[in-house]
Amino acid sequence: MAKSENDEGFERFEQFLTEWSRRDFLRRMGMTTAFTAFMAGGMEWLEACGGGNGGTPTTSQGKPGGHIVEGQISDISNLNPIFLNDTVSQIVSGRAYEGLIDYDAKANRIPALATELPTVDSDNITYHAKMRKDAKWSDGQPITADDVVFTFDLMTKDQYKDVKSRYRSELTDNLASVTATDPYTLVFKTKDVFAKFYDTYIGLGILPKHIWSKLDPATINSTPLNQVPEVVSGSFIPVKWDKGSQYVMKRNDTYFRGKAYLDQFILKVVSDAVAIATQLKTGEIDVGLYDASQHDSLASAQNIDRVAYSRPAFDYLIPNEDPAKTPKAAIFTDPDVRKALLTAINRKQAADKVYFGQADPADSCTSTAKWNHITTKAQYPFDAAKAASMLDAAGWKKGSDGIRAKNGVPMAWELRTNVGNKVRETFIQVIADAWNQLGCKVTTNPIQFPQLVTQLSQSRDFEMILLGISEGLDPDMTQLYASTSIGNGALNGAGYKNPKVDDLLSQGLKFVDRAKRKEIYAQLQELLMSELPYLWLTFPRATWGVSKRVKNFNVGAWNTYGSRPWFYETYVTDGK
Amino acid sequence: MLARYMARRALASIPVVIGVSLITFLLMHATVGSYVPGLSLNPNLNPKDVERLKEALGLDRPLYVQYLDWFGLAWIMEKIGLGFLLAGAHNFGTGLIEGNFGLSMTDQTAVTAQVMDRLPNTLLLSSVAIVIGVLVAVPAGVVGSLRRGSRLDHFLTFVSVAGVAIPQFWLALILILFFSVKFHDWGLPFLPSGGVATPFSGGDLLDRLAHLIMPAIVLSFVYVAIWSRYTRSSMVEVLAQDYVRTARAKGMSSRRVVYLHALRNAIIPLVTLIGLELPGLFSGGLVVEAVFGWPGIGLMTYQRALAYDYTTVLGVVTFAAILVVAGNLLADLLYAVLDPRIRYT
Repeated sequence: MAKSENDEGFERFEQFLTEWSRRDFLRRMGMTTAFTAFMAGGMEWLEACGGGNGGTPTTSQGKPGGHIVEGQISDISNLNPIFLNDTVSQIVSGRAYEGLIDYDAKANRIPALATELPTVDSDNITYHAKMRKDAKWSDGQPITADDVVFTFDLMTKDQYKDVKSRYRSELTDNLASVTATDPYTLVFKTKDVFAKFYDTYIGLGILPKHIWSKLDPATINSTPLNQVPEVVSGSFIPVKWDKGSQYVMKRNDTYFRGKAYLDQFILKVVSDAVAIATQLKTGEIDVGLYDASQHDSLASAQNIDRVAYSRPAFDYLIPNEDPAKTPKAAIFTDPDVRKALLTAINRKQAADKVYFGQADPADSCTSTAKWNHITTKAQYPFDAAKAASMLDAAGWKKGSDGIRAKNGVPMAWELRTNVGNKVRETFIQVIADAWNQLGCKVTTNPIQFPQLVTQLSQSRDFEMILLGISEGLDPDMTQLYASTSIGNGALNGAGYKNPKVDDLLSQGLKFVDRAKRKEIYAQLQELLMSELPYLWLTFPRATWGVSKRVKNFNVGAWNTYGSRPWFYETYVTDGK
Repeated sequence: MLARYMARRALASIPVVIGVSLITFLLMHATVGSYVPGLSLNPNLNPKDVERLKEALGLDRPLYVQYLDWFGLAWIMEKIGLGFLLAGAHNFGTGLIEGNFGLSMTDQTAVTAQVMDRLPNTLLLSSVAIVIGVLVAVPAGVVGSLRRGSRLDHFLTFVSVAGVAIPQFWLALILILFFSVKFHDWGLPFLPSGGVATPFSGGDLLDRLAHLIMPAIVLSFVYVAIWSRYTRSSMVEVLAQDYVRTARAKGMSSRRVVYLHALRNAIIPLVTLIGLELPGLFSGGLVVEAVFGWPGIGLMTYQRALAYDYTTVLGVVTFAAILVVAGNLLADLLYAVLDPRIRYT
């Protein structure tokens, strides 16, 4: 950094004072004390922003007993791994159901029900897995390869065609067979190289065959076992579900890694992310993801530690580059114009305003949390003067009315995002202001989310959209950038077509080995960032409040929802 | 007489309920977008799967087929012997006629189960709010009418106006800020800021009361405001009546005049008002439920409506329509009981 950490810290403190000068905190303590206290919090913040995994994960010796209450803003919907669709259900399902493998915070695979990481043969089509012999279901039955085969049968076989799993078409298209060569050995065969298979399906939660095979297939979609399963393999077993209110789980004593320290784990439904911060302060919940706007107010809470880490997500702008869809495409088809537009946005400042400091400027088209992420050579740091000269050089000069134009087309367009999302609504304002200062005429228009999705993925009648994407484990970006992903419900709304990109995307799916894929996706990131068909803005952070009495709650980028392999070692210091 | 009247009213309400469900159905489908839009934005889910899911839920069928199926046409046709006409067609097991409200689209749980699980919460909150409302509004109205023009009357008027003007969510947040957060910071016993009961160690009466008190007060504030005005003006009118003057002239104590004669007559419009609140009893105060995280019907319907869960919303609205109709009938019955002047033909 050009300035010392102290200088930057004091600048932030000054900003903090002007914005929050009426807070009791400052009046009651002296300014010096306030500054020290703030620097202490600031240090933690700087530390948290330095690492991708906020807070050093600790595993200390635990005390048995007690419970924790986790607050989330929605209720579970379906815990069955073959139907899983939302993050809150993933949290609870991950505690109840184990898979062959699990993941650590950095997306490294770790064995779970498998004794070691399953291997792939050199043909890239055959996978071998060996299972532990000591893992049991909560009713005492052993977990065997038959359970795995059955779980996959539910998603592929004809007799279960009424089971509405979201994976059905992908598996029937790509999976050739799953066989149990003996009670603890499995062989998966895909029809062709199916790169997504490992990280999408090998870790899938497994269902107990001896329970589910007894059900009539037509009833599987709606059985209450989907929400309150009776026989599980995970560290906690469901007790009850008070709809809309809470989900209670108790320790599963037959868990193969060992008994968890906690007696109970309770998921509490809280109205919104701000209420989560309130309940963290009052102690009604022990852990929860709070809204970034509450980050500063939680600094003064004595009973809470704040944990922030970069999420696998990014925000980006989607300009419409298809002249057949909008005349404004004339503005966006020139890469230099797009680069100028990105250069004109002070993304650090925007992140401070919009995310209250809890986001980082994007340095690639995929987030830092992903294992294939690289910081590309092409970067677009903020430089308003440079942006102006880039636009001049591209022929977009300011007219007498102050608006840039070229060949009679003014640089004026409408920027949309989804209404009701406070962060995005503020973001488009900030961006529009930056561009209007540059000599453009940008208006903002938040619209309903379903409309936005239709416009982006079907009709493509928009000028520019701001959206965020939550990324999964697999690095594949076909839905986002392939030329076949335009207008048919997929997400390449800009209409970007580049055969080299298509080629790299399909190559990335031809290999199973992560190292090989990383090389290909690195090339893809370099290419996309150098052409900038989309304007990747920020990587937002997840902000957790963790009560000081809770230890070993090591949430991280890929250990937020379902994967929490350390959870059986979470404990509370007061044993309550 | 009365029985015939009631029976006629009940029969006439069936088309009302059907009409309500039909209009709701059409409105839901007329809104932009459809089920699973959020899923569409997941880069890992391909459009083929989205189409498959929609098809599996029957969303690709023409609207009238979807509605009639939900209504229970299959069951009707079965009963009248025309069941063979539907052989081979999708039957999703729904059927309003059978009392089956179908499965929720978001998680495939039975709509009836979702509603029944949350109904006690909503009923509890709403009825406590109404009781508080009555207990505070009636004395306030009586006092206001007796001491017209006094400072107390002006103060009560001010409270009424405030009750109507103050947004519920603001009041709720202020109460939470003060009684939950601030009290906790100052080390005082504090009220919980959300939920029905404390998870893990809660559930006893005191705990439930602590959770109930703030939402009930916020919800009742509006009732107090409106009902106290009604009571006051109704009392003022009744107190000016001849029979009240006669009673006073005959030497009856002021208290007996007010409570035995005047109030009982003044209450009648209030009964109508409370009767009109009965649908609210079921649908719940959405804003209050949202701010306090109270797991009630109102909040559930709102969340599911946003998620385009057609079946749940339809189920709740139809159920509400049935209850409204029943509630109105009940209010009219009560009216006839309370006021001997009323005769139905």
